[in-house]
Amino acid sequence: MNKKILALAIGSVLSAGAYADINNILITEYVEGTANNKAIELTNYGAEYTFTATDTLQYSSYDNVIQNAAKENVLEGVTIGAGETIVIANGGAEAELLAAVTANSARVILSGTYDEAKYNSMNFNGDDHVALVDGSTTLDVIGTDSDWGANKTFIRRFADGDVTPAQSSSHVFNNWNEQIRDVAGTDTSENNFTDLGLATLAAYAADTGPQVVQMLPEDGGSFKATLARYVGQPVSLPLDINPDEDGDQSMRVARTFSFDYSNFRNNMVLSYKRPNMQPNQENVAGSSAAVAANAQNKDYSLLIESETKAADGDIPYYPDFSADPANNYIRIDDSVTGLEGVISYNSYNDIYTFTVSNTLTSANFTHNTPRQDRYALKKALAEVASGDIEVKVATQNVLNYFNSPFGGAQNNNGDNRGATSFSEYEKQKAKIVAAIQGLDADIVGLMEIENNGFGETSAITELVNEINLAYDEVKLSKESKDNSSSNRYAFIGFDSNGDTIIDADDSIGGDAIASGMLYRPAKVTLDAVKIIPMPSQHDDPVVNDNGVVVKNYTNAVLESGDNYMRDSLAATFIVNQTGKKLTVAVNHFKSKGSTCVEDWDGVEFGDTTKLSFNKDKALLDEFGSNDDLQGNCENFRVAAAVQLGEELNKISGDKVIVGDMNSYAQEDPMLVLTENPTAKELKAARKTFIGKEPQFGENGQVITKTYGYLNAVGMKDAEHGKTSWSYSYEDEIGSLDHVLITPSLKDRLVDAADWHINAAESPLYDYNEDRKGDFADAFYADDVFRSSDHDSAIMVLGYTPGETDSGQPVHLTKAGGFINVPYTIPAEAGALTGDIAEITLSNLDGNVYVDMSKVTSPKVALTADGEQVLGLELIGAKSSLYTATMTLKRDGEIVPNSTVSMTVKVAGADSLEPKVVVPEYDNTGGGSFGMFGIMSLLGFGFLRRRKAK
Amino acid sequence: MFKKTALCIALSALFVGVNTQAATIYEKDNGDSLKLYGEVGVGGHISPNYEYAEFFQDKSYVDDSFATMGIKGNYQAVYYRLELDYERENWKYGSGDMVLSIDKMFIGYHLTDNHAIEFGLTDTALDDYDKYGDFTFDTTVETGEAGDQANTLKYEGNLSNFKAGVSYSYEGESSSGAAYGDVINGYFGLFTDYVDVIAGAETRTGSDGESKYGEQVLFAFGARAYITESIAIGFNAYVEDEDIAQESTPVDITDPLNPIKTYNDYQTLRNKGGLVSARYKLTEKWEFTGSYNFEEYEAWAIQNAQYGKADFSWGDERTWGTVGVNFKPSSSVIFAVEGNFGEAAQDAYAYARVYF
Repeated sequence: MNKKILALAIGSVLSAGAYADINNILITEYVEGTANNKAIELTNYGAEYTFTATDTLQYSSYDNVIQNAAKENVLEGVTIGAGETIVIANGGAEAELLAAVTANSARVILSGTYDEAKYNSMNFNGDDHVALVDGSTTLDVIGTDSDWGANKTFIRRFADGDVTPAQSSSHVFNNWNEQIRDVAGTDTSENNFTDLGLATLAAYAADTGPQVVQMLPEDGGSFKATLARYVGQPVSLPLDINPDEDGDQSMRVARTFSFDYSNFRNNMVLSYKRPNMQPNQENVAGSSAAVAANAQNKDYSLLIESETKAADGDIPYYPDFSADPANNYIRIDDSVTGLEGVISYNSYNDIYTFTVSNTLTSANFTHNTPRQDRYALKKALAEVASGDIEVKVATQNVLNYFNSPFGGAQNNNGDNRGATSFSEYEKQKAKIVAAIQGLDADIVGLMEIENNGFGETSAITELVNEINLAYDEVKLSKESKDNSSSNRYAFIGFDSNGDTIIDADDSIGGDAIASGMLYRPAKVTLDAVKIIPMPSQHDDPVVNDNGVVVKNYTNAVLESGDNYMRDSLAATFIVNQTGKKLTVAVNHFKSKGSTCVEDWDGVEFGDTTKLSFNKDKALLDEFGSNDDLQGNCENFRVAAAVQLGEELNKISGDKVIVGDMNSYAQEDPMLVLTENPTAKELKAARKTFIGKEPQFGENGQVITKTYGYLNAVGMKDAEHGKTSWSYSYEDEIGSLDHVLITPSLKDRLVDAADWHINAAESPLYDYNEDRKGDFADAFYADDVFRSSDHDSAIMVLGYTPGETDSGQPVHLTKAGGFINVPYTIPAEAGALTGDIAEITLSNLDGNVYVDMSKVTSPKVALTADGEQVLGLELIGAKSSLYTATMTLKRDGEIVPNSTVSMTVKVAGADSLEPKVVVPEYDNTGGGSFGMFGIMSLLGFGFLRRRKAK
Repeated sequence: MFKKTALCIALSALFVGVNTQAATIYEKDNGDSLKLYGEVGVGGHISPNYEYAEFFQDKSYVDDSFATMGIKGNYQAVYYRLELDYERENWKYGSGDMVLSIDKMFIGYHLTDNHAIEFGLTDTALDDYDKYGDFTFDTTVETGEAGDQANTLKYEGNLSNFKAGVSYSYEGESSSGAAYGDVINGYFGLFTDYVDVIAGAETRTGSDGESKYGEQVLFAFGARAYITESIAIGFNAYVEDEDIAQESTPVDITDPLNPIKTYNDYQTLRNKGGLVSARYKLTEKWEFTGSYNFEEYEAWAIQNAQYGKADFSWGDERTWGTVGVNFKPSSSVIFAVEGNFGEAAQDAYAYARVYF
């Protein structure tokens, strides 16, 4: 573009009818030079005008009114003649600038210096807009509140047809010309005062539209390098940013529209070609690969801003968002194309900002990970083999579900963290209920449910009752329907106070929230319950160099040395119609937010006794406490992982770990629970205790043992070629919530997936009614989306009827008065259609009297040939232990190799009331005298194991 | 660990000839006899230290009065005994009340003059010798053997200078009635004019989750050396591995004093202790005793390492000494005072006993 500056007599363009009005005054030049060389040129295209007290020149996002040395409005009382051009300059501007204005026969009005007027001096520095304002009405603007105009000079352009430009209440890039020829005849922008004070306008330049952002080979794959080439210019974001790479490389939503605490604005973050996966999700925390992934996330990110500060719930450049939130949602991983705006660089946060100038519609968004309702979820999950028993295990965070303020039982463990009004509570409940019903799992681990007991009005009771309302079809013939009563849930209670009843006085651990578990008695039977106590940490508080305890900005102790986490709940079930045990442990490890003592190791406080706001985070960054991006307390979580692994090792059979481990997939605690293939040094926290017992001593401990669990969702993701996540934090996503299985379940695993109903969604869709402006009702729906902040995860396991763990009877529950005995007809029997299957029971429990004459034994004709599983229904069998013998007859003769015998336990299904489960003796040394006792007497006692200490 | 039988065991060990005081109800020419015997004693612990968890209440004096009355007799090779104790339940978790209980109730049979078997409620074999080598009475190291048990079958015999015993107790119980499982113990000893040596062992099969007591193995050793007519020294020690449940789940709390629980997660805890003691007989009526004791319970070390619990004042192990004076105005009467120093459970123990 060629520079063309025209010097015109203002009078020639003034209309005859000009009148004194601030609306005729324009900003015609902007200078942001070195040091205090800052100036704004104003030209009056109307009649003479005297600025009033409400006429101001303002700058920055704080709208600082520029004042004079007396700290008064610099414009007030200044008269600007018809057609006159005046210059408002910083009181500290260099003589060269002032001389240039004088040479151009213009007046200079000086603002106060910084010493005189502080932030009300003329202090814009390139990342501030400057505006002429009448009262609260912005009249004319140059610039935005992001890095756009440092060390630059801009001159106003003519409008089309050499027409005098009009005031513009927002920054329009094309209104301004940066190329100005200096006195030496060279185009320069920095410290160019040549035209300052002259009523000149640059030639009109037609708006050719924004440039399309395109990554070039010389960018070396760096998206920041690409963006740097477009700073300050109007650009658009296309579907394919890198033509040299196969496929489309669009911008993806990395953080959906939400409140950004770094900038205290509502905005969102896009990332080049994919959302930002937290580095430790796919790379071992602290590894060079993780460091590289982190660098790439930073390189690929682009902050999307609006020209004006977005009101709560409203996206200024996407009005359809708040007008119809249910259809115009923005989810993480959405491709966003067609955005137009200006790119600037925010050095403080080291991120490029894209200030949107056009208006978007839903056509600008493509949902790469679309919303998936309950039906879509069900359809997406693979099904078990025909005839097999399906057991689905899920994890669901209920986002601080508290009912104690709304008529629920008193919480003796802490204060409310959830809904703050009954209206919010009802909304929260509706969403959580929808989510759990939508999961349709047989065992559901819950996190963050209020720890207010197991009575009639406890949170978990109220939640389960509400969920069960949907299962009102009691006819056995309709058992397969979604609303069948066989889908009802019971919850697991725990008799914490040892009074042999489960009621309002019991709890799990001592936190205000706890983990809980629901199960379907029609599918599984509760066999054992174990509370696994998690570590607590008790060390000295953090002190400064003088031994004084350091406090944070709220005057609370920075790190007391006492840290806790929630106990885990492990329940062992028997899968009905089998003799297989399945233990599910639900967990909620210590979060990454608050600190543990290890986080402050090496941090130098000097003589500081109290930290200012955010200084704690700055110190942790400065001293590298979180260099491996695991957040705080990873050593404490490692201690928890070891405790969990060890305690579960005491339970035999198949095991599942679910819950919020507050650890991404490749972080230290997960490496402990799964495997540590790179032999990374994993250290458990110091001075931790299980209950009162010391765990790893004064110095903590390097953990070399791993527990071999498999990441079910990760395994299935690998098969399906996709990546899942469960949580969004700042501009990254990853899985804090996991479903881990013992290798013994690997072949039983049919499918596993995260249900992206929460993390991908804006918090605007949650139950909260505040921070949403006028749009709270518009965003809310009684659906599953943003029912919590964590995504749910679900896993499908398959069981063959009649299979058992070694020595276990097949557990048969009575439904409708009968039991269904699975008869697995062996292949070698050569079964033929029409063969008659028969069954006999014999009672094994001498303490139970069973009148066998009242047990009807069916005879069932086969309808297919060969190996098969046949269900034989018996009526009248009382709860007891039996031997069931099944055989085939053909023409009245027993078919060779067809007889199958098995031990079965007949019992009623668990009731929906929580039951006290008395643990069986665990054979840890309470008895079983045998050879060892004899050996001991003979002097071989040293061979005994000793576990304590 | 403190057991009700401690004192009577100590006394029976001291007064080997106590039965000579018994009142004979009849004695036939063929040797059949029936005798009444017993003892009456008053005394107690002075300035006991409650922290040591040996007494039911934190008091400056804990009464330890005790009475026994029994009959014993024989019909040729068959012998029997019934013994009643009236004692104060002054131990940890005891009621503090005087309680009457059957201490012994058994029938025995002399296989030969040197070999006999007994069945019933009686001392287990090791119970007779677990304190061997200790010349003091009540304030020294306690060996954690099973003590008296019902349903006990015991064999004892001697050959020349050797003596041995072994017993089997079906479903033994602790002094508070908690299940031990079956208890087997025994000893083997050499007795000479100059030195006696006893080695013993015990094992319990454990309660199978019925009580906190799991499997247990204990080894005990005792010895005496008679230096002169008036001076003797002794040595006694034991080491015990005892499985104790770390978890319990109430099943029935209808009786709050005796809740029924299931127990799990048994952990093996090691206890050990030992002492050296000495006795000096000044005259027939006056004698002096002394001992130096060492004891270490793994449970102490565990609690000392625990968060939020006070450490034991003596640390992970304790040592203490005793000095005692016995005055026996007749062979049936004794007055005794035993003073303690070091990490002991009381400052002194004093009592008077009359045997009949």
